[in-house]
Amino acid sequence: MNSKGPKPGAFLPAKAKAQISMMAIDGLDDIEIWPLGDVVGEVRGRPAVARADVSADGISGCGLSIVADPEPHPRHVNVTGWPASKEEQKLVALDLCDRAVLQRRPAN
Amino acid sequence: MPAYSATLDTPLLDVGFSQEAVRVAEIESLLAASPRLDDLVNDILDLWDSSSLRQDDTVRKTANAAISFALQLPRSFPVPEVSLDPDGEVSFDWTGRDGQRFSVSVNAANRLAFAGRFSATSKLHGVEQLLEVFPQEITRGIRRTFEYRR
Repeated sequence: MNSKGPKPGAFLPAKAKAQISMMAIDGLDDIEIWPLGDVVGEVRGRPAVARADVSADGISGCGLSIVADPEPHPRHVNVTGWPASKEEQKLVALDLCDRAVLQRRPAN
Repeated sequence: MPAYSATLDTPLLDVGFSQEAVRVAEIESLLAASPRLDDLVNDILDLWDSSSLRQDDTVRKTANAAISFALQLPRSFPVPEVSLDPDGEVSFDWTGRDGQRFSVSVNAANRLAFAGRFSATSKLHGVEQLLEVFPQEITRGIRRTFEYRR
């Protein structure tokens, strides 16, 4: 992330994967959302310091699809439909950056 | 309206840098002449140094390719932000005043995958190879990022 929003790399799929992980947050308050990020961060050994919120319309507007996947959490979803080439993936990531709202975790 | 959230990791720590396997003397003279370039190259080396795979040959080659790209960047352009893509490539990102964005990812084979979004309807993407001459498409993309929009 930078001061102007999330970096496009935050949205890119991992190598040989055609999807990224997100959490459905509708109906949740901030205080309930941050622990969801920690669930994802636990896999990587890093806590969530920020998040990028995107609407369902924003995701589908980038040509992507949302698929429910309750492992590791009932609110976990996979965002699929990424193009195969790196340069096309980067363009989709830039579109997501434009639609995303960056939220920084408050210091406690 | 349903909403979804992607978690963003902690920033990579500054753990110092190593100049293993790079052209030390040549690079040092270039860096001495340009403090901002020096910062950019240090950022790249920090990414490499903090990688758990830094002894991996592909990771080392990617760092070298990224440094080569950084050293060839036109000096008149703003310094980009660098980060690691999930696939291990090094990304150079420029963001304009009005939300324009241009991003280049460099891999171990000096392949440059780039994409630009200058408005909702003005976008581009492509691939170039980093050779002796800096790719014109990359130069154009960076320039468009900082064009004034009415």
